Amino acid sequence: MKKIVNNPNDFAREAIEGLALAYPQYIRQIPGVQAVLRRDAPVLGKVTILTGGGSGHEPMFAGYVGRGMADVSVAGNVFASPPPPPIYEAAKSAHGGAGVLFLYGNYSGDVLNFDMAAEMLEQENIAVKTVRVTDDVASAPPELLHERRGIAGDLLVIKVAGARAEEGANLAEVAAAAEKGNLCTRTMGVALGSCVIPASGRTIFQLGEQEIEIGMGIHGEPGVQRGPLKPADQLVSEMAARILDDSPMKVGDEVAVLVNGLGATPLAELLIVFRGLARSLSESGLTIWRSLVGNYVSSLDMAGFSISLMRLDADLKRWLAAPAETPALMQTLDSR
Amino acid sequence: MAITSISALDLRRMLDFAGHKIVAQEAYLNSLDAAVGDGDHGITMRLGFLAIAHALSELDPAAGLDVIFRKAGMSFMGATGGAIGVIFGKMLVAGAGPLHGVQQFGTVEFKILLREMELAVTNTGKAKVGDKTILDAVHAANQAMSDPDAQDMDLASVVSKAAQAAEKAARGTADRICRVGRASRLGARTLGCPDPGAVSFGIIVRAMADWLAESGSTA
Repeated sequence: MKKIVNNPNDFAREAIEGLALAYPQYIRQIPGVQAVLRRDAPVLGKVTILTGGGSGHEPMFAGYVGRGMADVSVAGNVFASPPPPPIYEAAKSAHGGAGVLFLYGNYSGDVLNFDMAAEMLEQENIAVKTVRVTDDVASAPPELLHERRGIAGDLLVIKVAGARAEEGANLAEVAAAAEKGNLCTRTMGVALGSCVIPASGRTIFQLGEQEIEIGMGIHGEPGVQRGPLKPADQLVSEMAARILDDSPMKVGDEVAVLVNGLGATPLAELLIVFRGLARSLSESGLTIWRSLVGNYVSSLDMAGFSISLMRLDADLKRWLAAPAETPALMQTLDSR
Repeated sequence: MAITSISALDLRRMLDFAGHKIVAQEAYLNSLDAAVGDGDHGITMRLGFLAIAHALSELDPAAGLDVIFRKAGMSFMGATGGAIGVIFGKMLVAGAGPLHGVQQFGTVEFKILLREMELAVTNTGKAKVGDKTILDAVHAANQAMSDPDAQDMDLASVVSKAAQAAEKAARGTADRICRVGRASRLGARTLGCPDPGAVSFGIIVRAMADWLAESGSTA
């Protein structure tokens, strides 16, 4: 498989360096660390939002560092959590004196490494709270919600937490906003084909020519079922039904929608997905308040997409509408 | 003449030797991981052991066992990431506590190390014995140390006995379904593939036994 790399072992580091070089108006790299800070960090008196995880999900996580979202992001190697020392370094570099919220997707490797970094910070009397995103409907049943994986919903939850922190909220309030955003968000993904791991040059699973996997994770973990490829509208309406079955949404609710590409699916296909989804949600009595369609949380070059819905109230709408100035999400105050 | 202990410097040589054995198995470990994960376990172990070798080369020649194990564990953890980085790093660091000020590595110290390693894995991850993780191999090695015939052995034989138990348990993980970590979502699809972490642990202890068998006679 062809890849544009220098040495595959340098994949994660060089991607982070490239991001920092490309967007100096928003971010800067911490020298010698696979981490980027918002340009004006530390922001004194503001709760610090720290995110991160394995590389390979670009533009997640580092692409969402900047005013209105995360203060700092730490990148591990491809699909592997960063170790505790750089997480600790990153938190120290970004800390504005009001505590640090660790906000990341729920995977055992990330939990072990981020928890250990949190302990190191707490030993220095830096307050840390942790919220783990658990939006993936397919990864565990509703009664085990806290065991679910975090996938594309990370983006919406980081947006919410970042906006709440910009409002001047304290650490407990920012964590509560993130937790609320997480609990209101559900995601369902579908894969059409495997990504290729740069270090091995190999795919990690095989699907038949006309086969898809519903509920696939963003590292190639299998989902709830394999089945035949279907027309877009039918596939999308089944996925929407699964999400709605799982969530406390009811007729009349407003939702934010994220139709996310996994890296190798053209935008036109994502737009066809969105079109079908808009119909499905309308038939279910839900109103789409705002939408994002694009490659926001990828899985290297995996083909496929995910659908995320966040059930909204006035607070969540205010936070999603707040300004953001990051490499991968740029918006002015959305006051409509 | 069978040896009962080696010096702290020899322990460092033995860890270095184990690192070479792990690096030599990189492709094999990657292939095991590809069956249940993202196929980079061999790469991770190589990075971790290169970091250990580098860190230990900078240590004072007089460093005791506790300094060696702490330094090895922290450098492994800092160079790798992922779940295995913290788990294997903490296993090594765990050996530091009870070996404070000790300069000779013998059967007693080896048994303490295994006991502390099992405690460290149990306390760090959510895995229980039989969940198809590195714990299965560590537990088996530790258990083998309470066998009556493990009591009066020389160091090389004790380590070899532990290696045998760890390797057997690592092979046995192939018959288990993964219950924790990212691969647990694969359920029954993990049957038939041994856990890469458990296999790595077997390789490391086997390398230690081999080093002792070859170098021990001249130690």
